[in-house]
Amino acid sequence: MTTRPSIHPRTYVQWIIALGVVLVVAALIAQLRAAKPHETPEFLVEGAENVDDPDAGIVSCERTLPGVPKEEDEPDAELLGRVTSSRVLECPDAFDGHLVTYIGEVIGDVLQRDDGAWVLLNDDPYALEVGPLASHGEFRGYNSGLAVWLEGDLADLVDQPGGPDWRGDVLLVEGAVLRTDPEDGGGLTIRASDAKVLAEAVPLSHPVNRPQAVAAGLLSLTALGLVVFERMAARRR
Amino acid sequence: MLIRPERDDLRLIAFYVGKVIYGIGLLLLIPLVYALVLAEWNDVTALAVGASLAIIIGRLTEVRLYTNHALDWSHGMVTVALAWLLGPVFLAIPLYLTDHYAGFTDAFFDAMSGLTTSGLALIQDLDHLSDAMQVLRHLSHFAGGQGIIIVVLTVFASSAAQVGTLYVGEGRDDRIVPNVIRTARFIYLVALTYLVVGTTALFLAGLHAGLRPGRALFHGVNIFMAAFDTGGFAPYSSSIGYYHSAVFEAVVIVLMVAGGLSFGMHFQLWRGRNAEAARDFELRTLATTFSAITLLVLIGLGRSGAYTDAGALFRKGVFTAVSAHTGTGFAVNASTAFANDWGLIAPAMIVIAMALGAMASSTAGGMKAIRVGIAAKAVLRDIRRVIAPDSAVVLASYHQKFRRIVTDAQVRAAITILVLYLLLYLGGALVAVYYGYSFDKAMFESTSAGANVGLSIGVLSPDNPLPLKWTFILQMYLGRLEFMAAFALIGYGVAMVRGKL
Repeated sequence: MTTRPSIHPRTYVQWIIALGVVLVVAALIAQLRAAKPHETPEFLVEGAENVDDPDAGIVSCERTLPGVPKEEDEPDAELLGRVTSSRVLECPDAFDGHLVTYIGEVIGDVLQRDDGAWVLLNDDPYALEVGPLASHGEFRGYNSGLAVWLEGDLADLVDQPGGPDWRGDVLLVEGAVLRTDPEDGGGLTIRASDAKVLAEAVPLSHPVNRPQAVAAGLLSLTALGLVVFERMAARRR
Repeated sequence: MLIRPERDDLRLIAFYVGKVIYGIGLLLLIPLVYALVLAEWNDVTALAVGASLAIIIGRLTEVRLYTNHALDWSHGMVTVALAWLLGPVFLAIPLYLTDHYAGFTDAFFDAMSGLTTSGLALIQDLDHLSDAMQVLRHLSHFAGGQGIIIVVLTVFASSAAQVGTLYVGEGRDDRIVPNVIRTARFIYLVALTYLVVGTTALFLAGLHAGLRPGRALFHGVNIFMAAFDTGGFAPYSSSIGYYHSAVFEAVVIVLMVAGGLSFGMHFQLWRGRNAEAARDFELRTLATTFSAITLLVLIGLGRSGAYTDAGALFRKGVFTAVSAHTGTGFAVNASTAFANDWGLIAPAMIVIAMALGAMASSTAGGMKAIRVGIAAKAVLRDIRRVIAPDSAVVLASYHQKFRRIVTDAQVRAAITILVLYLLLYLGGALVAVYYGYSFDKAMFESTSAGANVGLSIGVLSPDNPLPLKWTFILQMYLGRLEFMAAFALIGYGVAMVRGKL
């Protein structure tokens, strides 16, 4: 009968060394991330507070079934109040056709069309409270926002959209929520009839993570050296 | 009897895994150069750390473990399984260093999602992510979709015989031309051609949507890589809905369909054999399931009252059906809409579309049309056998390059994989149910992960418990490798512990 041979002690030592190297590298990477400096400017948008209690007037999140007439077929002429993207996305039918106020940071691009422009307005904490994640490292979940159609020259208000280097302009818009906007192929949108800049864009500083730069330099040199060494070894083979 | 692998076996496997890790290191140099151009210094150093570590490991294995022994099947399978586990680790390092991930698990999740072309993401504040890291995320789709092993094949392999098993282990069994390296090079030729054509089309569509030229090019390149490789990452959290453009969506649909076709099919079309392509059994199966599912999605959306306008219903329904069936995962609506606004039938059909997937040997995940078709043929054959006279010989056949008889071995292989996929979807769903999610939502998300799709109904979140995140990671991994390579790795592990010489 074949017996199971014992494992040579050298094999154990090699595995322990390998495990040790992995742990050291993991600790190094964790340290590099922890060493990242943050310079946090003021991002809190005045006038955008009370985001937790914004939706006065909307009491039902019930979905209107097809064939059942909605209680309010006509959009509200009066402003419903301030809404948040998460609430609208949760109950799009409840807000359909209502005039609302919405505050959000312009994100990415202003998609200019002939008679207006599309923008994405985020109202998540990165937009209105703590600022972009890279500037502070405080995790607040996914982004959240709504598509807003800026009629006519309202888009000219936007000077700087948000991105990796900017917390973008924060707009306060008034407009109608459309659950299925026919002009957007059925998308959930707000068609803004009025807008103003609530807070101007804030540039983000990206202070260099020096320990990470040093580690990157050393590792790059090591890698380069190994590539050269391997090339030479390959030529000898 | 289990036979314990010898040191030479492990050496051979480590040698080839090292090559793949080296390939990942070189891949990271592309966004690194881009970050240098943009002077995004923290990204430069983060990418340099990840790339250097990968290159160091890759070169050390080359120097220390060099061998010219050929790989056998078990070596190939285990190499692929290990490469797909370790590759994402090196991709995750620069992602983790961006500060956009709550922990390394989240970064590894996104790296695995990127390479397996799944598209589910745990990144936080994506909308402020740097451009270089955006390129890295989308590039991971491109590398993973074409197959990271293929990179090794095309660039580093000296002999086709040495690496042929890697190709099959990666979930590809369609050798377009007899030589596996030439097959790999053809795949990249197709991909690069589409890259030029697709990016140009998306660039023009982006301009039409209102993007500035530089931004249109940035979006075009990234969306191309995610669309053609049926990935699903997008530069912004609102995915393709960001562009508010029917033209842009139309171009993306074409690219998603192209990504869902097998490279064998691309070869037929490349050679102008359109009639041959039209007779292809797998393509016909895909067309049939896609037509039926799309119709049912549209009916479901109509019944739910989600869209009152026929144009909107068609645009949203068709895009999402294509995105799900090709395993891409792009969205044109918020994830909450599936649960809150789409009724029951349409999301159920989307789950089925995700589960089925597109063609084998494409960049898509899921069960694959050829297996579904063969299983259906077998069922019909058995029904005909029951009603035919005892003396009748009832055969089923299909056309793929030539007429083929459906054999019992083929049926068994197809149904085995179908059952494994069903268990994968169900198992992930049960874990999500355990953590408090409703079964319908859990099934949607689990199927999306297991079939490498990326559509979300809102279950996935950075706040998910770790076991649930690791369940989704495992699903993406198993779904991409189509089980066998992963099973071989487990078998190898057991043999190392319990095997005999």
